[in-house]
Amino acid sequence: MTTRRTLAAAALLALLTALPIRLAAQAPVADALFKDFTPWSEWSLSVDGRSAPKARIYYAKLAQALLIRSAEFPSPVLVDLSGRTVATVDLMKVAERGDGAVDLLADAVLAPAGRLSVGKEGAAFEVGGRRGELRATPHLLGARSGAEMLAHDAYYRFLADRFQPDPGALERLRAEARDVRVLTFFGSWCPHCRDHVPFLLKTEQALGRARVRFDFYGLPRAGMTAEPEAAKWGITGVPTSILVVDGREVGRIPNDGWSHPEQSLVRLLGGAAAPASK
Amino acid sequence: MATASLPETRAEQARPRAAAWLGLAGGLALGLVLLAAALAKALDPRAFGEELAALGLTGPLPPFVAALGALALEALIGALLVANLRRLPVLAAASALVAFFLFVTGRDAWRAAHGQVDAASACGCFGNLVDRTPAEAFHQDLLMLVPALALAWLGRPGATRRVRARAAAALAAALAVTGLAAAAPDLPLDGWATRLDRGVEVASLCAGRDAERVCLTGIAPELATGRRLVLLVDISDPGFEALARDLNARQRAGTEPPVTVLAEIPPERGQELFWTVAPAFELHDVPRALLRPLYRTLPRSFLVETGRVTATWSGLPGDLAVAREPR
Repeated sequence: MTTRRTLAAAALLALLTALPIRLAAQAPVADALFKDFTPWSEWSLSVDGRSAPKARIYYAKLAQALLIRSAEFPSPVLVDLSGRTVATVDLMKVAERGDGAVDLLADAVLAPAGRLSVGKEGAAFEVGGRRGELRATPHLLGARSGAEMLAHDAYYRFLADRFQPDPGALERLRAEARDVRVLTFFGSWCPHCRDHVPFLLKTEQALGRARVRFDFYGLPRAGMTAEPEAAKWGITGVPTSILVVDGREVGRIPNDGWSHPEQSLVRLLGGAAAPASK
Repeated sequence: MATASLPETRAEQARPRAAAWLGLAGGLALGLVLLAAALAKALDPRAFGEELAALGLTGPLPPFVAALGALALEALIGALLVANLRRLPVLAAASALVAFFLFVTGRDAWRAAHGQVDAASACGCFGNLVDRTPAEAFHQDLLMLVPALALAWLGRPGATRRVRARAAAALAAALAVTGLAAAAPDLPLDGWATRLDRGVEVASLCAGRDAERVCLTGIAPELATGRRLVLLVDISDPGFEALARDLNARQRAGTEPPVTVLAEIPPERGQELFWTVAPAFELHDVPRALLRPLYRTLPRSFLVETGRVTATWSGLPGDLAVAREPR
């Protein structure tokens, strides 16, 4: 009896062990080209002249393609930038990954829907008799909270989610008893801000209710330095993050310190943070 | 009376001799500085022409021609001073040149002090990336040039023997510098004239200082590891879109090594390129202060292996396959 039980337990264990392998083997295979679409917020969609703010736009660099998911269209729309064509794809063939990126499945069938017309300021296409237009997303200007920035920019959210702040630096920042303010000037038009400011947003999120306060200020590209708030702080470029302790500026995150801004903040506060990889 | 006046006579005799030596030293120092500066600029006369054009000093002349003229003048004045021909016209010209340098650096310092700093970056993200502030540049010029110039005025007119031979030698030196500048664009001098050469660590290619310092690996992190072909290009060049299409095809085919393109890219042009080119390769906007010291003419290319430059090309490597012998 005992032997039977042992054998049954062993068989069950073997089955449970093999199951994930089997499931992994059956996991949907991504298309060789149309994969690795990441959220993209440089462009906004309008359909038949009306803004479609809930549309989700993804971009795959290597595939040179945009993928648009919007309730305004019956199916996801694939925009092939190199061929300047537009196709629709079955929603079931779009696989969302855990990291927020999206793949088309290998067996996805692209149903041609027409041509993409391209101008200097954007592009337009027609799907199912509806006209979609992609135009540059308006810049985020003025005083903003981190939550607003994350809500505004899907790419910021994507990068922030993937970033892992250094736990030691976070601990040091949480222990800060002084009145600490991190004032960050950014330009939503600036590619370097797009690549780095999300790390600071994640740091703010990770700190939670710590005493460190984060404020963000969006600057326009034209006349950036002439903006009164920028002139007041002597801003000549973005992103510029100023650390203010008890009402006094103690330093700025250096341009080469943005890969881990939380460590740069700790260094500016006068403490050492253990190096961490991105 | 006669014996009492003797020491005064010696002093009177020694004074002009000391003045002549001081004048010679001042002229020599100033002349060498001017010659060295002219020689350095002669390696990349196009960059110097761009600077003159930015200052509005080229007049109706093409920047390259204006640069040759300015270099000839600077080298001639420097060589005449080195030859100790400290005649009034030479010193007047040297004084005007020094005054001009001080005017330019002083104006920049004033502008910086009054918040009128031009953004040096194409995308406008970065501030004015300078390795020395305009105020520092002004003070360094002031300290290096003015004392030497003041000394050069002492004990004029300098050499009185073999004047023609000295003048001819100075003229020959100036012509040599100008000739070098005229020929430089076609000479393989990139390694001398730029900061990009074999063996250079990519992480060491930086611009600006303190908090504003920007390094190439910060802008293009993929250059820190692996093997990549890097192209420095002018995206306003009519041939760029055709090149970009080739690079896209290469990237999609998975051809090794992958390509990174570095250029000055204004945001509106970047958005336009998204639709017209849709780069499948890595394309980075690099501020001018960081990019300009890396080339004399565009395009220029280099190969990076584990963060170190292992080959450079003037132009593009043949068929982009990194097969051609680098220079």
